[in-house]
Amino acid sequence: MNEDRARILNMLAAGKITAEEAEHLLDALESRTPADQPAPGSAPSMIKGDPTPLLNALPKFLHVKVDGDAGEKVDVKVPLALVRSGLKLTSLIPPQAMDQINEQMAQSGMSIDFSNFKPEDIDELIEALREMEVNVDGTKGEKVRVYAE
Amino acid sequence: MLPPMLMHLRVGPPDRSPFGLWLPLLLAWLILLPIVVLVALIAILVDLVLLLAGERYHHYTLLLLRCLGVLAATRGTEVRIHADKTDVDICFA
Repeated sequence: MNEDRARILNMLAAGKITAEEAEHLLDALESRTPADQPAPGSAPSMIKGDPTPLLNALPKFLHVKVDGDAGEKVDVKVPLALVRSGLKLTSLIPPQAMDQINEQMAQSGMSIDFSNFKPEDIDELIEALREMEVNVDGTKGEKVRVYAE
Repeated sequence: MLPPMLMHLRVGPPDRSPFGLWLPLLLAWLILLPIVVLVALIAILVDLVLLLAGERYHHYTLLLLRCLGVLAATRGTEVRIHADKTDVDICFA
């Protein structure tokens, strides 16, 4: 199994794409090489050309889903553009205020120096979120799921 | 990139059709626009003074623009809350 194929199947298994989307991606992947052209009469693929940019596309939204033990549900969908803008904003915070922020963050156990964030770091961080998924199952049946898509 | 122009709010019990409300945020931005312009002018002035004084940090105008960028990036945010008696949906478009 090649890397692209494995990645599509992993995305399907993680629920990031539907079975139909996975099928289209696999079709497009197979049609990349002339030797793997579909047989005459078979349905044409909906995605033309190389699907690698599609696979490598950065996630757009961060989802936070909470299922409470009493049946209550909370679903928050945050655009990752907001995360990106927020991180870019940190590089412009005045140094005096930034020192205080870093100090408070360190006291809370998060030793992150936001003044050292660079635009390329932010893109790398967003890219890394694509593979991230947090699943928490509570003792009373409550569930928390955080993922990017 | 423009800030969200509409906020869609839906509130109602789960077993009945919810009450929906489209709030035109555009009107709020129009009201706030003179304040933003005023703050931007002050920021430019402060930056100029800091630059002439030789201060290293003189990016208040850029900071204000980035804040507006953060506001614009909230477009597409959705919050859905489903409880026993009430469902609440909030979408920024």
